[in-house]
Amino acid sequence: MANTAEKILEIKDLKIEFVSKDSSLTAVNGVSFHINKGEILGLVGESGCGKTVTSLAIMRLFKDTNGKITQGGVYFKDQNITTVSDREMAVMRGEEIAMIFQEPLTSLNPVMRIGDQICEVIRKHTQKTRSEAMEIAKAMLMQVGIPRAAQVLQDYPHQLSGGMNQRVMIAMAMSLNPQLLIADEPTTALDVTIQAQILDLMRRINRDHGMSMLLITHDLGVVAEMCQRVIVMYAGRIVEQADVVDLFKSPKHPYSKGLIHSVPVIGRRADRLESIPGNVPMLAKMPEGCKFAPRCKYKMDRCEKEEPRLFMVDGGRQERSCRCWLMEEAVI
Amino acid sequence: MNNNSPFRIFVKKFTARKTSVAALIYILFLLMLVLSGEVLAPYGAHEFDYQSLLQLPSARHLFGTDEFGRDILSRVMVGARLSLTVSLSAVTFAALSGTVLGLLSGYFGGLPDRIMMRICDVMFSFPDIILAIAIVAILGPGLENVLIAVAIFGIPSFARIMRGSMLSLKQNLYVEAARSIGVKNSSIIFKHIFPGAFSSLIVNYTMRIGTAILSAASLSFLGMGAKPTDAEWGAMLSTGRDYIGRAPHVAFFPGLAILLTVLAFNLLGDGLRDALDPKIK
Amino acid sequence: MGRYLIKRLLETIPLLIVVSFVVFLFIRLIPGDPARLVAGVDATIEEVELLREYMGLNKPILIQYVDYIKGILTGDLGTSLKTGDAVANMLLPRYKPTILLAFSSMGWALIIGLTIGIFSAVFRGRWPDYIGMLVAVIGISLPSFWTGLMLMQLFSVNLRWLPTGGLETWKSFIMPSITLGAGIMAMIARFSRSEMIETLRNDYIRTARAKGLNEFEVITRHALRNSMVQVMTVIGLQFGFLLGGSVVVESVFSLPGLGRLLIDSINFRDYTVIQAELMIFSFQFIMINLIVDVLYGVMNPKIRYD
Repeated sequence: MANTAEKILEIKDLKIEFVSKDSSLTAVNGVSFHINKGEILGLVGESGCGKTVTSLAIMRLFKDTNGKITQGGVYFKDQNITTVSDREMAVMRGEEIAMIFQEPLTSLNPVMRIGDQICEVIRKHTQKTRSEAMEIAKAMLMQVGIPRAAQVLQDYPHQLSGGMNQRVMIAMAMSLNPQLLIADEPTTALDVTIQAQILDLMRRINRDHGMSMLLITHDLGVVAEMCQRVIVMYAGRIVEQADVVDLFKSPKHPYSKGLIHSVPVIGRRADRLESIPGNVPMLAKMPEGCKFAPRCKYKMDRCEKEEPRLFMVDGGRQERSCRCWLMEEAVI
Repeated sequence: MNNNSPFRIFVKKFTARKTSVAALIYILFLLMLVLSGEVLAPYGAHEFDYQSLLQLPSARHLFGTDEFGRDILSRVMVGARLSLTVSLSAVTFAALSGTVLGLLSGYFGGLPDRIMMRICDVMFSFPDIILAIAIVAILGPGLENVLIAVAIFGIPSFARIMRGSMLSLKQNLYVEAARSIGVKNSSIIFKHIFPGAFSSLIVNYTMRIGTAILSAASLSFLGMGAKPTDAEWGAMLSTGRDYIGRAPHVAFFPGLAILLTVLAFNLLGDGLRDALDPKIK
Repeated sequence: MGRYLIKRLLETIPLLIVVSFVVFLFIRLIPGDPARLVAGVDATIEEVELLREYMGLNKPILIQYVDYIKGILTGDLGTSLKTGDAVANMLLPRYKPTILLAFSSMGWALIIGLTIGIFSAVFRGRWPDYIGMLVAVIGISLPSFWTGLMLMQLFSVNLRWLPTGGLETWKSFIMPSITLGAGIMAMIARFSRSEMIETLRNDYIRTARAKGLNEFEVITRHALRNSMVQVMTVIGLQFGFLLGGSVVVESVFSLPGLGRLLIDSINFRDYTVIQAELMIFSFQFIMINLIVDVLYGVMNPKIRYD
């Protein structure tokens, strides 16, 4: 992917806060990245690092929560969708951008049949009749590899397994051929074997339909299999951005290093499991300076006082950056 | 005491709701009224005054007078004592018995539990008032019997709630742990499990007082509770009924007193429930 | 579903039997002697004894019970001690006012209660919520007899729009149904609000929004349907309150319904009527709960298909 690739999504300086009566917590601060057309971008981090919040911000799914985008913008195909009206946003949801979630069973309405739920999104955005929409739904179910599609259309979510439900979610997300699919931990709640199948399916969709994807996960294995580029987040900030091969071969940020090295490799002897000491800081008690400093092996004095900015790093297969004072020497 | 003790948090959440605080103040005021006896009433509750029958509210009689010239304000104040004593006693009795029954039933299970649940089912087959009326029919009219009736029909609700809490708390690991080191059953029930069930108990207790006041007043209104000459709110309404049109104030003020008091207990119950709920900030 | 239905029916039948026995015992606990009541104050002791024998009051309790059950199954609920009429004949005409009252009260309680509850949930934390919930908490605190009397004062006496009581026109039901419906409306409002809020917390609501549905569609097509399943159970319970509340409201507005008959018969110690009334009230309540359970099963596919 060269620099001339078209950007389907661009996030600039995004800041998301959770506002309540007496306080406001910053969940995401100054996040910027982009997704090229047709690529699968991985968004990695531990629970609480802000990756889900960021993904919700793209489609502005903050109703019934206290989340607000207080700074920055989300640009979809060069249009600032942070400021469009609710109605325009609703038109884009499902049609241009679609999202699938972590728990497929609870993400589907338990008292509505599968077919009806898929038809709903089709008929909301197009003028199709019910039977036309059902045909499309059936075709989508077959595309995602569900056998007995006609039967499944009549089923309720609790009658299907987790893997089937996730396929249904994917079918539903794809039914209007959106350009961008946001997948928030799509396989975390599934068995390992099913996980592989779902990932295969997603890879196939990306390849055959050219659908760009934002894949959010905490599982590095998934990242290695699926993504072309990766973003690592920590405490609401991007700490590293790199091509997937570069990230695994030579992670630059101490946190990324910790993550990559903490995954045991089958076949390689190790005396103890490496882990990153300490815990992710609470939103209400963020440390001054670099947010990772309290847990960092390479911590310097400066790190505790000043938060490092995102430095561009040389020599990557693709554009590469890292938020660490150690990178200052490597500035382009 | 640090700033985040559970009690402090509870107080903070409770006081955030103005309605609950207002309700609490009103209830405390009523309690004070009750405890001070008839001292604060401007007139005697049974003080006839044949010169001023059925007078509308005036400076001398803030709530007016009834068909015997008695000052309604004073009677309402005395009625507060009757209503509160009856309902508080009845609900306290129901809470105590229901809690013990429910906790034991839930903890030990088996046949006694099933029997208890069947009995509750039978009692729940009757709407509250009907059950109370039936009990009063057997025992005869009178405020004491109303108290007994209200106490009895309150038991199943407490039993059910406490049994439910017991069943869910019993599953907790700390109960297993306690049992495995040989803690006595009674200790487990009362020292370990009960505190967890306490908040549902308190909320239900407060709500049931409102129900009790309404039931007792309804029974008196229907002629099965207090004697019509008693200064009881329901009884006052039953006589006041005859004067609708001519002297509506006779029925208006006692009824308003019932409304405000029950409202206060319900608001208090709501406030307690929200303040005790860990899911609400 | 069939299995569920059968299971519920099997559970209900023993309950009905036990309740009927309990009511039967209850009546015999009421102080007083039915034979003497019927015979009158002037009757001699021998006459009372004869009457008692004739009324079957000397037979063992269980035999009396069996006789009674046999009677119920054939439609014979005994005769009124006061008037001598067949109780079944007395009860029938009283059904109509009570049922009309029940349905009209429930009708508008549902409409207003659900509306308030849903709006409060959707606008949670803002003023529609505060006002809605304030109205609701007042509603459950209202003494029905006071509400009734005050309405009477306003609409019958002062404004002369509505009749004070009796059964002449449909207008006679307006104030009683408002009075009876107020408490129920309030409970429905409170409960549907909390159910709606719970439902809106679910993941599938977020999915619905992610599909591009507008808020109205999200609420009506996804949230409502799921909340209603739970609200159904509460509505069933409310019928119990309706039955109880009808006793007071019918008294206040002089409606010749089942509720008022209960009070009258207690005052007159008309044991057979009291017995029949209590039986009816409890059976109705049990049946309604059964129907609500079945409806719940129908609406909740998890139960339907298992």
